[in-house]
Amino acid sequence: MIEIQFNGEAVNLDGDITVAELLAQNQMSEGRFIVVLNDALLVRADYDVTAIKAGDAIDIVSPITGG
Amino acid sequence: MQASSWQVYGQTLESRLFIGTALYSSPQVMMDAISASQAQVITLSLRRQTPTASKSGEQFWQLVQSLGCHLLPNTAGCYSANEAVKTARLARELFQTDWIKLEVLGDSYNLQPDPFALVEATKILISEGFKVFPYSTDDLVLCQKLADLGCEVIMPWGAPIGTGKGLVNPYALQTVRERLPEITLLVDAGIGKPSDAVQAMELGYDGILLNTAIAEALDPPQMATAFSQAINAGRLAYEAGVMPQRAHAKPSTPTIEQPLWQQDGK
Repeated sequence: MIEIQFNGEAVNLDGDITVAELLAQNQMSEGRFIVVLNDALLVRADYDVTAIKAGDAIDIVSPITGG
Repeated sequence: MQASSWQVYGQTLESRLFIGTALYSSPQVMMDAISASQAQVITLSLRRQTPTASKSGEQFWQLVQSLGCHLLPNTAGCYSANEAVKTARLARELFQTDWIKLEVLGDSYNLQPDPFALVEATKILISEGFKVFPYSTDDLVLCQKLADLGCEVIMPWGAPIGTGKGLVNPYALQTVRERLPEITLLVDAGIGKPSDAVQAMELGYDGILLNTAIAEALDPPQMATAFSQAINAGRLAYEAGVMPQRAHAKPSTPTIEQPLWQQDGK
């Protein structure tokens, strides 16, 4: 079991999952968003090969309205 | 009659109104207002998803795509150059555009741009290939610095964001216009009424960026139409050439051979 910050909230994972698997678990596999891992952009090609570690901060960033 | 088309970072546009996507009472009202405005550029932003908003971002994106407008993402809410630069990089990836409305705020009370951080962030973003649309004050020297850095577009405020006060300092805006004739200038923020937009356009501004004045109207689509027509009218007037003011009256009807000229003449 590892603890990460996911969209600003503490979340416990069973461990040894990739970013792609985390997205799939949260029904976020498709759509317009980007992933920010520990304050750095994670390119889409790396979702499958990036393993999540304890203490990681992962944010899903989406379009919103703006002026 | 439509005013002349114009160029923004290599894109030819017919409409001189950039419209924001925020504050509407519903997505449908937003779509109706944008459609009525005939705007070809819309502003939008980006935020971390929350559990309750995980679907709304995608729904908003689908609506935005259906508009077929140019996207101008902003860095709203950033208070440092570093934060704004990071946000701009994320926006480029998310929206697949190098256009960025660069907002770096210096004061949370009136949302006034921080001129020093704005220059710092602009320098970095231009070096990374961004097409920067800086939201600035109407300070001439700041606008000159931004132009010197390579901004083809500068967007001085008319008044603080969301106030609807119109052009608080028309003299400063006119000075920027006169001193930077080669720069594309938009008034961004503070516009409250269509007549405010006309005033800016008659000064020679190339366009207007606004959101609140349309979104918070009782009838946003109708107000969007009003702004669209006002901005076009203001530009047509500027291109037609406004007459100079005179200190004294000058009759418009010829006075030569006026009948009864000898009676009560003064």
